[in-house]
Amino acid sequence: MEQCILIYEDDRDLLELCKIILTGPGRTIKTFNRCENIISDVERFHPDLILMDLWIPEIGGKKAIELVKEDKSNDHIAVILFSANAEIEQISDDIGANDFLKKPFDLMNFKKTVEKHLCN
Amino acid sequence: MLDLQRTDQSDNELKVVKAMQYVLDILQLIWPDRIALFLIRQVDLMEKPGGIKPEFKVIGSPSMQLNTIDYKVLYEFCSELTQPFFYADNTDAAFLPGLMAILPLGLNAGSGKTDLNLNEHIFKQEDEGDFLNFFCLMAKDGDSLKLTENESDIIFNFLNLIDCFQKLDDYTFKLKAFRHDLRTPLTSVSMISGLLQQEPENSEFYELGKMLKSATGKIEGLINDFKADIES
Repeated sequence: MEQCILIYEDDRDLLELCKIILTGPGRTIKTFNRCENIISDVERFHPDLILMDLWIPEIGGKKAIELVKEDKSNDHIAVILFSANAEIEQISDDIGANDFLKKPFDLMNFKKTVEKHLCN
Repeated sequence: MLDLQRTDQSDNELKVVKAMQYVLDILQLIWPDRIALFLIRQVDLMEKPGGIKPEFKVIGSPSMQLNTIDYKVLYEFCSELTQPFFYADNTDAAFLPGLMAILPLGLNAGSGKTDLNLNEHIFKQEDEGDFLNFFCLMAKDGDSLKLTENESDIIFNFLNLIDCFQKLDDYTFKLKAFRHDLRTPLTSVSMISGLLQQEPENSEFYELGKMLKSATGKIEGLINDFKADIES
């Protein structure tokens, strides 16, 4: 079954890198540099996983994930936050994200974290 | 109240807020029967992503441009206050004050009475710099707003003090933002180094990847040292 990952990051280099790294057979990767339309993105693509930068226009990653989590039918969607914020772990807990990646993270950590939640 | 989107900053950390609290305490002793109002324009701090996020409270409909402010509406708001009120707004950052503090001094503070005519005097800081600070003193119509030379000096010294603290806050914010922003491209470099190291059969790529990894580790170390240094 095709897996779908939505990636939200306002740094285009990092966004493109994440896409390159995660692209593979049986996977659809959709990238966005803003997050205010996240609800319609979720309704349109039915993602298995959302990778969300915390500090992203227009509404910020925290608010965007809170919007997604408001709808219980989205509970199956895994969410990984990434940020340079020192309190990323706490924020991740607060909004019910499944995991977090603290910038700067490396390739191995990134792949391992994503694979863990796609397998689940 | 101020609300910060960034969780590594809180309103209590803003030195300008602490400075204003201090100033307001002193003014309350000097002018127990007047309302003191600070209007501080500082646009940059508000506009930065993750900067101060306002909890907007409309005080009537004043545009907050000093020449059009509706003091009666403002007074109606002030008259209901019993505690100093700190206010942030960025709905129209080009014109609005970045930060405002109101002290409900005597003048029926807390009574909710709004039938008083007010007069006011606005003091504007001469050296505008990056910030434009105003201090407004209001009193019941008929009460004198004339200040002694010493009182005028006090006001301008306070404005200078607030200006200094606001600049300090701004630099602190910029440093934090810089440190934060640096970590995103660093992540890209780190990921590229990982990709290069995935090619062990190409020793040149592998070595380049190792060098990039080492360099990113050093940069991260420098950022962390810098953070520890400014926080110490």
